[in-house]
Amino acid sequence: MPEPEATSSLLKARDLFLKALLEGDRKAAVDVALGAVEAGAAVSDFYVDVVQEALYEVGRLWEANVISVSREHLATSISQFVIGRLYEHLPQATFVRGRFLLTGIEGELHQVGGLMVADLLESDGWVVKFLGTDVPVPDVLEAVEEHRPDVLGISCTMLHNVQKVASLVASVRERFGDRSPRIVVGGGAFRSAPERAAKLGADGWAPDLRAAVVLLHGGAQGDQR
Amino acid sequence: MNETAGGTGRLPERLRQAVLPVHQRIEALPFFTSLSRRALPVERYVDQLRAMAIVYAAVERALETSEDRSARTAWSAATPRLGLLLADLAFFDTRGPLPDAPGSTGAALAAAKAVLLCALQPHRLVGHLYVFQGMALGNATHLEDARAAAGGVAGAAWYEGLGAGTGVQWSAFCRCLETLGLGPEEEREVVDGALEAVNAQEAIHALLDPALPVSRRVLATTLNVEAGSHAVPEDPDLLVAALRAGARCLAEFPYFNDRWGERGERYTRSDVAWLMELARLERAEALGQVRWLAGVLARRGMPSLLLERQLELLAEELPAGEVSAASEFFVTAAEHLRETRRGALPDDRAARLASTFESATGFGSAATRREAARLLLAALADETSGFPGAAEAVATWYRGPRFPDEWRKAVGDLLRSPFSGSRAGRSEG
Repeated sequence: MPEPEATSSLLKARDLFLKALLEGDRKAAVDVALGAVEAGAAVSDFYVDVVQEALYEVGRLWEANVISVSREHLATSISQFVIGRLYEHLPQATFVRGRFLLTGIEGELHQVGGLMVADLLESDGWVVKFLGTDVPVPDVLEAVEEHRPDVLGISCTMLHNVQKVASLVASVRERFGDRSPRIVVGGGAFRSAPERAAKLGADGWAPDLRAAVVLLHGGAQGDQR
Repeated sequence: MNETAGGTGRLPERLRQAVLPVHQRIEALPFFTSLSRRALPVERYVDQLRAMAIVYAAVERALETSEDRSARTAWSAATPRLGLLLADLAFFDTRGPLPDAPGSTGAALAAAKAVLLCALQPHRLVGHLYVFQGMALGNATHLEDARAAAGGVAGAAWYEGLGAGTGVQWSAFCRCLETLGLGPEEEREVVDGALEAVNAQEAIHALLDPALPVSRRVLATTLNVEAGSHAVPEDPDLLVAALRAGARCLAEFPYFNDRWGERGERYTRSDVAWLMELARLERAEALGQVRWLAGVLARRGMPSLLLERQLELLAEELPAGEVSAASEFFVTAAEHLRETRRGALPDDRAARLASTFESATGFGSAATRREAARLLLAALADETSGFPGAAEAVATWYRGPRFPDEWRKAVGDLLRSPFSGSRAGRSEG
């Protein structure tokens, strides 16, 4: 968790960032992000406490019909742009923990969470390949064959796509057997029911960005086995 | 507009030059050579219509809601074409919808997603629009080929477009582009958008090759080109049962069609198919999804009463072999919504308020008045149950210009009824 003072400044940044997203003001959003980092905030904290939380609020506002779907898409696009700008401010790891392959499940269009996970894990020493989202199972299997990751991460936001995660997990295990990478899952579909990850046959799950980093340190948080 | 002040002033020509090589490649693809030889199977023709409808729907929806001045100006000079595609698809749907070809549909969904991401660079949308408007010219040259593929004049409305007026409309659209007054960077975005759109067309049409094997599947887009890629039943009996339930609900509530027309019908089809799939989830998860959907829909003018009724009809329509667990889920979920509604507004109280409303409106048939009362009261109950904005979302329609003053006054009185007052008091407490 950030220091209390940093938390307070990030809370203020969150309000400003959300305002920029809702107004469709890309420049203001970038200014908030770079300003926070220049003031000493860690990029990882900005991702978690500002971008992630602001996008949750954008989602809630869409559900409540306060903002249109086009406004929601604009907020998402701006967030992706900001994440791209912050990437160069992430500390670079001086060691390698292993290879991590990340994919969004087929049928899933949500990508921002995956982008942030990829960045944070890379900064934490993982060699990350992010396939993007809505990736068909055969393409994921080919990517596993090609990259031989130590860990395969699967992101899933919508509950109705959970069965596809189960299918992908089974396909990986069937094709690679003992050579299967460790499989971890994350995303909104698992936050409401953490036990779902174990039922799918995953080796672990992460409820949020920070937990994803901790999980891949080999720690116990969220680990199912 | 001149070059020193901003862009080149010759935007249409820049766009034409940029997309021309890709257009030439597309025309050489097996889909079009087969179409020209009048040898295209009708299934592939329908696949093309569906893929185009998926992308057009995204483009037209993005333009309708865009707040960018140049995108809106260009859109005002364009001719919407989604309706033509939907009319053609409806013609072929009379024998039941043709299941999707996952390849071309997947490419179309990817193209639609790229359109959504144009939100950050709205000038790209103008480029997409340029490509789609320009396709009308190509369609005109293939009109007789399309009629041959469709098996007659019907089912070729998209290829026919504006007919003899196509060239005139295109010229007007290009003149509009010249007057947008874009700077060099903005023009570059327009060209990038056009290239993105035409490259997507190439990818889609490559997958429409009639020689490619196709494993057809019913997808959400089979039922509604705007539905994205959510789950739908693979079992044809379950799908038919879901569609029957949806059709019955549409018939019971003309409000759907009155307010949302064809689009409301399409979303009903894909929504009931998705609801049918919910029965496969664990009970608590599925109920959670129903509650979530109830809130999302209620705030958009569809009170949870409508979802409750869809669930009841799904239970009734299930094939004989599926009645146990799935039926129990639908009944339980409908009961949950009903009890929540009654908890907020007991039936006897609702009946009194409805009676007052129906006698005060002085407009429409008894059935129309009854439906309005049910929906307004259900929306008030939703609002009380924790969905703020639900009442206004329905009232906006019933206070609209299609209704006379006396009716609108009755709607206002209902919203200010003692029930509404107690609702405000409770929510404040």
